[in-house]
Amino acid sequence: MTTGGILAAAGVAFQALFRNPLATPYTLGVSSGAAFGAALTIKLGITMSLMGISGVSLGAFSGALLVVLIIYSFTQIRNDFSTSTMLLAGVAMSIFFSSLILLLQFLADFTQTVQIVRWLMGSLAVIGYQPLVSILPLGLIGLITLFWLRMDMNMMLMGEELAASRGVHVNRTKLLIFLSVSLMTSAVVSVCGPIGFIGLIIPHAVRRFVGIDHFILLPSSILVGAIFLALSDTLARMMIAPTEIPVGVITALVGGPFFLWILLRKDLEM
Amino acid sequence: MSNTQSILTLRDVSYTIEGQLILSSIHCEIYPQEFITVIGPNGAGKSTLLKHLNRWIPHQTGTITLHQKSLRAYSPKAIAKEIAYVPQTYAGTLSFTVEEFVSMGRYAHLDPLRSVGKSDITAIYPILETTHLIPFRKRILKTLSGGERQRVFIAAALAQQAQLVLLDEPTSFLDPKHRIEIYQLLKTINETQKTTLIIVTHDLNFALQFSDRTMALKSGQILKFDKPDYLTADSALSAIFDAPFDIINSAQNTRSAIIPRYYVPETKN
Repeated sequence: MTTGGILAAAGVAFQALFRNPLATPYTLGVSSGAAFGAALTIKLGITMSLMGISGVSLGAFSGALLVVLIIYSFTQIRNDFSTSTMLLAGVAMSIFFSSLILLLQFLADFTQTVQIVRWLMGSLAVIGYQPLVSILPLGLIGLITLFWLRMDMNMMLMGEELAASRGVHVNRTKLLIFLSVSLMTSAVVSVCGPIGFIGLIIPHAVRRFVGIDHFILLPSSILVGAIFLALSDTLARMMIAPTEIPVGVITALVGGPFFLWILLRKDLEM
Repeated sequence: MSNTQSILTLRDVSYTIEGQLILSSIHCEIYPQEFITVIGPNGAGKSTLLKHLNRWIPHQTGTITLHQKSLRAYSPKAIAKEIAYVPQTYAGTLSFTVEEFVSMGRYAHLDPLRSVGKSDITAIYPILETTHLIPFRKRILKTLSGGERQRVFIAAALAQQAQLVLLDEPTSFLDPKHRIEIYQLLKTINETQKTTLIIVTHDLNFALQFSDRTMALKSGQILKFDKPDYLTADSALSAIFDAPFDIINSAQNTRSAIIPRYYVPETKN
């Protein structure tokens, strides 16, 4: 549930930052970085663990952080925090790391490949109590930062120039949104894998009902995201029990048609 | 006016982008409660000048001082309390209601830990009244006409309670009736709230009839910055726009009108 809430909130923040309805917490390539980190750990057969967190999770978290660092230094070098530059850099990173994962799969043996593919599907199955505790601090810091920025996110919907003229510290806001979303997404992805669709559809679905004010939108999305993922997980466990389907498959299977249905009813508005 | 202290002072402000000189050594002073229009051909640097004044574009050379203090020394909120801005085109979301959008103009005055609340909405009522927006207050921006929207953007800028308001072509997309409505609104604000206005415009008759001073910009330079009467002088406008103009005077010679001279090509026999 924590995972669902965090992913939904992260999606809300990125859609406000990029003013792009297609933005998700994975837009900047965080999930690809994490996946690469996880795949590499599996390929190398590293099995050590730290404070109850598996080596694969640690590898994924390092991979995600690597992407965050690259994008961050990229914006610093260019001295430019333009959202289109960030989006394009994110797409480039995603493609680059996806290719590296393919390469790893090619080089890996059969069991390793299966492991990698399983990880990419996103799953809550292996979660014990310990990994949850370890992602909670990052998740909380991120959520608190976003909640503190709720008014700035509302202002950003006017466009950056107008927001700045109203007194919003635009670059600082963008940097803080970028960092908090990236860190909490990295934490979640490294433990659960890239569970798709929540960060994209929940914000849109909730926006449809509560409007665009982030004061209401953020907490509602967290709640709905949490419930949605919990339901999906239950479904994943029940459908062909005792086998548990990866929850990422369920969120996408349910999410895709549901999203189309929302699109049918109204245009996407930000 | 020279005995009062200026609000804004620009000294030797130049701006170059990609090797292209957009503003060239701008010197000027703006005084309290002035009604200023900025005219000039497309690409003269009018919008760039406005964007320098609210620091969206930080100045590269020279100095800009606001109340005798460098513009660079202000925080974003501190500038917003002094200078409000109405952009030429609005690129943001149209899903806000009028009330929401206007009350968000008070951002710089709000406690960051609070949200826009009931008290902020009552605080903007006088502004909604001056801008004739009371009947529209619950409407979503998307459902408003161009003229109504423009009044909302002006109202939101007024909610900032700034002494200086910059407007970039506030009437370019409006029909004559709504244009005049905006002009009169601006004049009212200027006189009753003592707001200083700097308005970029292509409406030369508006500049002539409403401004205290009109700045003529061309190729990034100030050609003239004076009482607008100079616009009716022989060849003043053609020097600015490189096009011929006729000046028509009313019977009692109390008002003048500027019309661009043009020829309708004869196509019929």
